[in-house]
Amino acid sequence: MEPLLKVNNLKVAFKTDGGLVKAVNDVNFYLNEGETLGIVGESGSGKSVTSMAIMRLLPTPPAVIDSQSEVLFRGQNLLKLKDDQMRKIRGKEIAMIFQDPMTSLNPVLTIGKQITESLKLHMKMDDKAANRRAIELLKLVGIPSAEKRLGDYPHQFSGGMRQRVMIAMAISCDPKLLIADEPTTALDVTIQAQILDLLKRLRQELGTAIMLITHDLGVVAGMCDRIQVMYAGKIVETAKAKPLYANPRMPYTIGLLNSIPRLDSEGENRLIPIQGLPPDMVTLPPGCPFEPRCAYRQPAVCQSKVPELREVEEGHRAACLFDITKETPIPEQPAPEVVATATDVRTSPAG
Amino acid sequence: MIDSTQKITTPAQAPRNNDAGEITTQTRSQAYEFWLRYRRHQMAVFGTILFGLLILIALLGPFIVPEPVVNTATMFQLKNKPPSLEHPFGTNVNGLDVLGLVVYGARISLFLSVLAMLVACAVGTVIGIVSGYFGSWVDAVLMRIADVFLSVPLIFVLLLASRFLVNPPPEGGTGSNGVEDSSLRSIILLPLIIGLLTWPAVARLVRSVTLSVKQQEFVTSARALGSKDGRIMFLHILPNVINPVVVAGTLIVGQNIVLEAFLSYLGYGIQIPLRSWGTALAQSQNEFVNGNWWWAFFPGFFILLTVLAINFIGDGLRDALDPRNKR
Amino acid sequence: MTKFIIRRILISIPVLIGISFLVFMIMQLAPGGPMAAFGQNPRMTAEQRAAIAHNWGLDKPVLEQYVTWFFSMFRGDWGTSFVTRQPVTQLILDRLPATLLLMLTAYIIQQLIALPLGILSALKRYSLTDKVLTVLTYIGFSMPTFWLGLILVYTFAANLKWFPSGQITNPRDPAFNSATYWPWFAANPLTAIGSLAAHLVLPIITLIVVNVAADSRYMRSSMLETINQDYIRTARAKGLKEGTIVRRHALRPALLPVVTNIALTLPALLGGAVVTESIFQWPGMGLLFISSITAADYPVMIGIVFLLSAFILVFNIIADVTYAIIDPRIRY
Repeated sequence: MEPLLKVNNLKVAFKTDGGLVKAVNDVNFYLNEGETLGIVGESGSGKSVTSMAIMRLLPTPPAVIDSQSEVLFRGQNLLKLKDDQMRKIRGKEIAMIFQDPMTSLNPVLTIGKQITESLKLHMKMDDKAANRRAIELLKLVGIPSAEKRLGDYPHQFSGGMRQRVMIAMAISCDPKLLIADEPTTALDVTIQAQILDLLKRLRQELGTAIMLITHDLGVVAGMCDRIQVMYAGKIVETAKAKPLYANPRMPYTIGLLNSIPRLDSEGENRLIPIQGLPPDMVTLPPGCPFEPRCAYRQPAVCQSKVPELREVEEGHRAACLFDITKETPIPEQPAPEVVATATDVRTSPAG
Repeated sequence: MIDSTQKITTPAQAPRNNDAGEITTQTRSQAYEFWLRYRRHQMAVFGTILFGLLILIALLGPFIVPEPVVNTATMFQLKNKPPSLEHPFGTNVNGLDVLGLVVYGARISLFLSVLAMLVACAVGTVIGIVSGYFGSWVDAVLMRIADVFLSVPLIFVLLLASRFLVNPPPEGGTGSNGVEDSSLRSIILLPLIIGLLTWPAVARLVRSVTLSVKQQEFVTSARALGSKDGRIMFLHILPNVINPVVVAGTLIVGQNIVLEAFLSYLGYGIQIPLRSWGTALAQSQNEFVNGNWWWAFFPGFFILLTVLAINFIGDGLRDALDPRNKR
Repeated sequence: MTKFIIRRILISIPVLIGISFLVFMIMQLAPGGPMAAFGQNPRMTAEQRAAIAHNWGLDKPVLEQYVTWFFSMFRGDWGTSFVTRQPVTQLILDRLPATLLLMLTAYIIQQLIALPLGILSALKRYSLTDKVLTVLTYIGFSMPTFWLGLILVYTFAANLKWFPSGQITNPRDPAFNSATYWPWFAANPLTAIGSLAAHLVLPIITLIVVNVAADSRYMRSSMLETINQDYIRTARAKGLKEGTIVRRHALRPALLPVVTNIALTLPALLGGAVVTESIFQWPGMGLLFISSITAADYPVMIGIVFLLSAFILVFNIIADVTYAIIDPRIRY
């Protein structure tokens, strides 16, 4: 079966005052119909840029998408579509939920107007039908007394409720693919769980494929069929959810997992933060981009060769020159000099 | 210039460390970063060059061009001569060289405008910091006072003030103020008056910056450590306020040049024998019937050039000092 | 809402009092005090001066003088002109129509030019149009208004003779402020309107150039800020056309701060009145002010400054209230 979405050789760079920022460097992946794919990485790893490139929402300039790149959606290369063809796909075939529900809704339009406008545009509904559908959608995403709230403005909703409105807007035209870019990051922890539950339920009820982008491995754990980890604009590990958690094969993923606090771990497993900062995306190192921060590094080899994604087990691929597992002992070597535990340092303009 | 914005790392700034601890991308100094951003602003560079030339004219011009003094002997011969090699900007109705008027006017116009700006910035910064830092009733009172100055029609009150303070009518119809006296008074009082009427814009700006800096942790911790209010305001808040004040101050100079010129044009600004660009323009309108356009054109054109240069510089400074404004 | 408006008016009262105090103190600070101002009127004898001093309470302590003066202003007793002996309120009212005609026409034309230019510039950012407009706005913004007026007079009035060089009516026609003007206007409406229009052209251009530059710049940056917002990205993600996005999603939020700005530029225009009216001999309040300054006609000067300040305060209130009405986020 042909995958719903197939991304080939995606390269995106940004022209900035400091030089060309290579935000996404040759990314390849696919997503099947009805599947949920998690994309995990620090800010600046290129995950958001990837999703924006798929939707063609990056302003060009400053963004430059390599001409060899392909985004095949049901076999059609989105990057080659004309603007008006692309508009028929946005919101109808592929919909998107953004990180900050506080700023992603138009403050001067009622939410009713904002939900019905896609319905009128893509489904050619009249006012009445669109309103009816909007109420259904609000009920579906769990907004109480939906009829009364259509005329309300975004500022009259809480953050979690606003994100529900965003989701209602996104699923309004039954999209085949839903891209959720850090949908829970801006929310309180309890609300986060509710929103994730809602996404899970909708996936079951509607059968929509979901691309869930997050910096939090905890968020994707219970939700995704497959997970891929991004670092410095590249995919560094990809596997089904279970094996990725049970047996991570890329030192970066191991580091990420080690830095999540766990209550169920036996013994005295300490939190081990990843040392150092992500690389400068203008002048990428010639070798492995994670090498300076890697606990298992062997400088002589790692600094000269870029590790490609390779199959380490069936359906499990990792970009490391060595066969590292959680059990591999960490070699003795001088710790990297910068001790900052930067998990949220912005290095690319699009975050 | 320890601005909070400096914490935002651009890709070029983010240091990359490899295992040897060697920094491959140089961390540049803030002054250098500023210069790089400023230089990229084409209009600001153009403005800086233009303004530099105007300063040169103001400083060196008087050594080359003779001072315009009415000479009753040659006055009628030289009256209303169009631009020529001898008088590149022509002459006015009194036979004065318009180039001379422009060159000598530049000094006074620039001096006065900068001085008035300094008064406004000094008063505005102090009031803005005090108002923002102490808040409550101090803030309420000071900001209402600022409102008073912001709600009066500036040009009208300026005219009123300069009419009564700079150039007061002789008392009781007897006794008159000497010519020298009124010109001296005009150059001292006018910048003071302009400055004291225009400080509220600076105060409001400074107050808003102070309010946001006050919330930041280094101020809270300084206070927790028992620093005195004065010390906090001077050491912690003042440095954060400087950048926006520099930008505002630059733009105020341009505004002052036009204000002064208009006052002097009407005869209520700088008093002859001192000459500004405004006094150079006074009465020039009357000679239009005689076809004399150069008298009105050249001094005003220099005002336009100067204000344009200053506005370019101000915008360049804003972009370079405040990276938040850039996208 | 009513509460909000009332509160807004209440905080303006101390400001108005402050303005009166400021104006009063300028008079007090003048060498020789306020009486010095009357000195230049040669038609006035020493006895008359003494009488005025007594009438105005100028022989009393400063603070008492101020209070007396303030309350008489408040009652509408603005005194009589030293020059014409007419009541100040009457003098100002006579000049008001000419000023309002000039201001309001300029004001409307100014917005009609500035806002579309600003929006165009923002939507076509970095294009040639935007660059040309940007340079023009810089020049306009830096323009010394009175000099522009002079150049226009020389070029289009003195030289080309396309427009009259000043005044509001032709010399042969009845004067604008006279009793015969309106009957004449009614009898020859086309001639009168044509003449008014011809007289308005140059003053309006002079008056609006700086404001058009400033307002279109303001509109541009507000529009640019809006189209970089997250919710515009949301609208794009819905597959809306750019035109729809601008009209439905960007225009209103972008206009919000501009509306406040529009209300605030009317007072700025009033400031321009004194400049434009003095260049074009336009018989309005600005020209009255200049002549009263020259003649040291103290009551007239104070009256005009006071009236304009009240005007500015009212427009500040209007700006705040309209902002509160059109922005659903603001609750009162």
